[in-house]
Amino acid sequence: MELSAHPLRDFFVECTESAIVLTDQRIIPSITTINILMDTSSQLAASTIDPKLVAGVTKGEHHALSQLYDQSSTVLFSLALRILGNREEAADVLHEVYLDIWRKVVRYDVGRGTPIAWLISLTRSRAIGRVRTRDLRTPRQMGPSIDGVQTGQVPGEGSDFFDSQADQALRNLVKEAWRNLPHRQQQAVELAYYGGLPETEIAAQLGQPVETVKTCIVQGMSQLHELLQSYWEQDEAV
Amino acid sequence: MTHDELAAAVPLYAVGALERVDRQTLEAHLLSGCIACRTTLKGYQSVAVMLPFRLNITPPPRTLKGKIMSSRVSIAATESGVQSPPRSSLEPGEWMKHLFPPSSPPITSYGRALGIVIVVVLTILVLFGWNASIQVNEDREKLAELQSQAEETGAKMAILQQQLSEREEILTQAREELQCRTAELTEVKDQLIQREAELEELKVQLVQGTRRPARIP
Repeated sequence: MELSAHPLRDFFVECTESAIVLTDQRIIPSITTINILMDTSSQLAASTIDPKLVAGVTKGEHHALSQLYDQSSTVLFSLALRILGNREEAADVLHEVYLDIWRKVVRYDVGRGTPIAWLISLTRSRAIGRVRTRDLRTPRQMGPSIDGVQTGQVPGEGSDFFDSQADQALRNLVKEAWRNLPHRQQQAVELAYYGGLPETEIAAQLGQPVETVKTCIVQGMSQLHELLQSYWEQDEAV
Repeated sequence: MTHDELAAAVPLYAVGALERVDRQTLEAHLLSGCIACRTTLKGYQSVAVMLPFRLNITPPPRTLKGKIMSSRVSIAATESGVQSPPRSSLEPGEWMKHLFPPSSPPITSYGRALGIVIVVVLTILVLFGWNASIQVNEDREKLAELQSQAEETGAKMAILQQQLSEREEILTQAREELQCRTAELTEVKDQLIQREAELEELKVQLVQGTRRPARIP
């Protein structure tokens, strides 16, 4: 079901708009509360996309594409925007990705991870490809992280603004794990993942030896892996 | 690179920080079937794809979904089932297709019919190709046999020629010797005739000597 068409949408927008002036810590419970209500009527979590839904898209089922978009577009757009720093280009990337799935130019394989992992990899690859094409014309100078700064976010805009409970739990977990990383490791991982830069270029950007950068990335990824792994194991046990 | 070095590069690969050469080396190693590295990579890749979940939520423009859905309709109208060509660039994790064969995607009835036609055509082509290849192989075998026979015959001919030339040489020598012997024989004959003639002369003289009276002093 599309959230934009949901009868309670206006109510949620009102709640969110009033909550947005509060601190982050107070916004999250507000959104989570709303999501509890939302999850009862629709399944919009990006992290819980059913592989059958992707199969439905490749079969040419229109409603499957619509639902896949609803469940995944927010996280994919956020990622594309983080990499490209431009809303129009980020939208173009998403347009390409969804149409390529529809036209079966790219195919999902269960053996390669969850549907959202596949979609994230696709989007990242396309967005970084665009950045590299752009760099051929004007050499890139990676700026500071735009995460947390003005990104043209409009409260209430888009059908997935209200994060699902499952995604929210995952976000909190990843944010918490990320916060535990030293700043240097965060920088190195960000430049690699969002900048698509190889280790030598990261080293040049950070003014660090290549070996230091490698160590930072390996340690950062290992720490994230440990934290997330233990969470997943606990989750599976429960 | 040693295995330890390759294993250490797995987190860098998962986050996309490896240089091209190192990346290709690691991909080759993964394709070679190192279970440990593949398992480690899966773990790190599952972490890497979680990174966007820590980004601030930014919903896409509200018009995007409508644009995608309308593009999809126009694609369906224009392409009418014809698939666009695959992208030339590798999608992320493309190497894994070699490790985990993709599950067969659901296909439409049109696709199924097309698939059947392609399979039939391919089967016919394969059969033709197979027959042709068998015939070609047989011909090749025959040709090889004939070639070997020709080579054998050639070798025999060469031996025979050699033998013939040897015989000719022996014969020439024999002829020369014969001529020498003939010449010697002729000479001996001449000498014999001469001796016979001398003998006859002596006989005549002897007869004449016996008819004269003996003189008594």
